[in-house]
Amino acid sequence: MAIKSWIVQRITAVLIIPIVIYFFSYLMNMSTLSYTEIRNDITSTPGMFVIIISSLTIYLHSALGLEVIIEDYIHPTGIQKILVHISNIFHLILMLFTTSMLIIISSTA
Amino acid sequence: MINSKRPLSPHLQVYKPQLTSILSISHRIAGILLSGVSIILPIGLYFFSFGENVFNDFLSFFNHYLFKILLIFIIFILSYHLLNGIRHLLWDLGIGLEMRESYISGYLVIFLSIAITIILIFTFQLQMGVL
Repeated sequence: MAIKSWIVQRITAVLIIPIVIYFFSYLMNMSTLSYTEIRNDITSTPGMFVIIISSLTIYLHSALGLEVIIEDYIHPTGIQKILVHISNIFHLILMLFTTSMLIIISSTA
Repeated sequence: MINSKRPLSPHLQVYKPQLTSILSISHRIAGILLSGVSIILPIGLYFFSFGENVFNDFLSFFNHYLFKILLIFIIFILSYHLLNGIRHLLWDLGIGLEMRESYISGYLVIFLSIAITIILIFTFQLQMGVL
């Protein structure tokens, strides 16, 4: 399990590199786009695909990273387990919230 | 997987501060901070879903100088975590593990993080007038 987490952490790390570059390049061009153009980008099939994959990758990487840190520095096992669960649930909520917002935006488009 | 028999990291104060250990712990600290920052994605989409006026009001928050400073700090820690992460990935492939190489890559990460932050500040300023 720990090896699987280690591998997933590395895979998500590699995926995050182009994601960050893409998001920053989009943010830089955002001022030239109207609200409708941004909404069309977000609600397009490739746009939704990019955001869903990005949120899945980012929050998975974040959850696994925090899990390792908690396991390394929080020594009492009970507190360690609770904090890991809280972190995982929080990341899951963020991912679900992102997806829900995308559905809401696309349904009002 | 949580295992009570797993060896745990010793207390940080045991180590004498050196570049390699400072970069290692700061990579983790940057990761924790970025985990917090990642909340901006669903929050941004939340305000976006209410329409153009509400989204513009949300963006106007970033015009405050405190947010500008925060934004510069976020750009720096993101650049740093990304570059140091690439350094870690190269180590996993067995590249740059020698002490001398490790120090060179460490200094390179710091230099490039600062350079990317400065370049992005100027680019954001030119493109959006944000910073």
